[in-house]
Amino acid sequence: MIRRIAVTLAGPVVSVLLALLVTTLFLTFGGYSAASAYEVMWNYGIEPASLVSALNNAVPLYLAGVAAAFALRMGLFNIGVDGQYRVAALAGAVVAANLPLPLALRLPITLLVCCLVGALWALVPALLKVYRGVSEVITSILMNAIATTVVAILLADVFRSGGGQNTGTAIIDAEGAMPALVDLGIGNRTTISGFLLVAIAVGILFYLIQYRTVFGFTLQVASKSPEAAESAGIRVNRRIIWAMLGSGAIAGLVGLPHVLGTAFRFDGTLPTDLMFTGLAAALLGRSHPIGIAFGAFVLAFVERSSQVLGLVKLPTEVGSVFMAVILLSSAIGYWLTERADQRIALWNALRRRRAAGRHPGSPPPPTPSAPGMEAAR
Amino acid sequence: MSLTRKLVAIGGTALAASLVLTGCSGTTASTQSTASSDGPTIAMLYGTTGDFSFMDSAYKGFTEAQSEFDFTPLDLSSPNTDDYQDRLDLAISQGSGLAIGIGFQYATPMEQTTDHPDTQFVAVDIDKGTVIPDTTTISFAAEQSSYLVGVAAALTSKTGHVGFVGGVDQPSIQNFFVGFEAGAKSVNPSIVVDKTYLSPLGDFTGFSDPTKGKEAAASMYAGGADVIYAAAGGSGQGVYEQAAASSTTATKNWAIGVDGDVYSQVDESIKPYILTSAIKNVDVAVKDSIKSFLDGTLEPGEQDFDLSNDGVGYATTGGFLDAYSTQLEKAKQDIIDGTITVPTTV
Repeated sequence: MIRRIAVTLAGPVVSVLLALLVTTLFLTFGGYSAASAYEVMWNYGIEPASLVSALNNAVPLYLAGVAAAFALRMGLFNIGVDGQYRVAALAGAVVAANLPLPLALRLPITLLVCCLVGALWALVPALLKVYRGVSEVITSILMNAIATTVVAILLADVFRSGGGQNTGTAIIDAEGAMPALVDLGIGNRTTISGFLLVAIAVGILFYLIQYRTVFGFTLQVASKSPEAAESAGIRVNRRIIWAMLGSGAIAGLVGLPHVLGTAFRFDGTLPTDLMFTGLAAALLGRSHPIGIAFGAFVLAFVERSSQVLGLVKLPTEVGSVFMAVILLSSAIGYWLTERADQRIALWNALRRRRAAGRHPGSPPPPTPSAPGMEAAR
Repeated sequence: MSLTRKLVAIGGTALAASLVLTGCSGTTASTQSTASSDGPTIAMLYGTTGDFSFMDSAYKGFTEAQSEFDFTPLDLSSPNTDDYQDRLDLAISQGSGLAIGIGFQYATPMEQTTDHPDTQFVAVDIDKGTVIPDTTTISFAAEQSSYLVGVAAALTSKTGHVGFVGGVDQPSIQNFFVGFEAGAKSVNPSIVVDKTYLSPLGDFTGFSDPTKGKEAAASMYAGGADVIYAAAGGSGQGVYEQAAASSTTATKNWAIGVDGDVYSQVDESIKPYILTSAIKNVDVAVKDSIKSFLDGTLEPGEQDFDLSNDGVGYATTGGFLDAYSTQLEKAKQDIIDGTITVPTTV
């Protein structure tokens, strides 16, 4: 038990340390003082407004990370989160602005519509994978390009409202926007968005479905060995479709914090890099709902605190470098910890075997679990 | 147990290395960027430089102002598209007397930030007619300069066929096209005007893809156009190169640049193919706002940069338009006088 916790914690810690190391190298060889940069970033990052901003900005990253993880646990790589959230955000903006209902009804309907649209967008790669055997990575990337064009046409010709450079849908009034959860009132802009609750709810649902239901277990089995799953009566193709639908439904929510909380319409300011940062959060958090939350917050914190570097004549690119390295180092960090974990398991087994050999009367040692099953737990 | 040891070893190595490197001295954070300056703090909030047009021009204005006037600059650059409000807050919390936001994206944050008694706001490149309380908004009449280069293109074209390469299919860029088309048709009503946009609405890669620009230009030149207007930010470079590449001794192809004076920016080998550029003086706008802020004359409200105050214009570097200067100057005067109304999409 202690070992499992150690391994789970060590992964992200080693990843973050590796990323810090590379960022430090980048700064040092660039002729900057890394200590000074980190100090400035830390001091700005722990200001109340920064922490609140990082928390709010972590929400879309978390949703994107959970969306990716939902498919990842079935062994699917949903790289189409990007297109799914943009199409869904457009749909959500239109519904939230036009539905003549009070907030208590309009908001849930908006969320549901976004989930539905995101899921439908993800259904195409799923069907192509099941019936034509096309890799979901390729098709979901292509669906992103289609999303760009579809959104452009719908926005320019159908849903455009008002003139000007910033093409966008109609403005969403207070009856359609996400209300604030709580205003901490400790300085400027310390309002926590209601989307935090949505993110928590999604995290809990993710945990329950993936870890506490038969369905979640069958996903695991089907991803480890499709043949074995099939012969055990699990319909793998259906699992693929459900995993992609679930992933797409969560992805549909990713753009909403911006649409319903910042811009109050779908327009040219919708961030387009949420998927990759979210993916980094999922890798960092090892696809575990709590791990992803940790990853999303770390990334949002770095993004926010690196903004201050420009003030003190240090390169603001530090944040981008850190993010990029996290993606690589989370892979390496886990590989290192995973390897270490397997070695230890082997050593322990050997030691037990030897001990058992010396005392013939003792019961046989428990079979060490296979590395694959270890990771599955 | 040894697992923990191993993990500690890995983590420790990384940590130790970080610490060693962190300890190395280098350029440290400077709390006061120009130590000698006692002037007020002026922040510029913008994206990233390197687009060969809009952002570079703004940055040029900001750096020129630093050498001419006495103030403490705050350089708030960010590649992100979701932290405009953060950067504005940062500028205010740092005690900036003036915050200049580059791009229409600053309209919303500046409108929503109502409490800024000690910081004046300037928003550059805002739609004409936008009113933001306590903010100076600057708009550029890009359609007017585009109209003039359209006139130049039609006068220069031998094939009666010109082209337009836009970066992104969005209203701000369509505005360049409608002006260009109107100008070209004013000279030759039967002229053919091709148009293409390198990426659809919402996909900003069209501003930074010279290869796409080159391909689009190659097909237009091959189709008979002999003058192409590139309103595509960094992708324009591909169009300029293709103008030279598609030219033969018998037929000469031209390219028209945008925002800055492209003739003075490109390689020697391409210069002979740059007919003119539609100028948008973002640098002047930035510098002027800083100057009037320091003079105490900066007023909230709308400032239009158009032909009448040389906020936009066309470049004559290279001397390729000398033969047509009377027609061009007449068209310019007619627009200023209101005899010609240039269509617009924003």
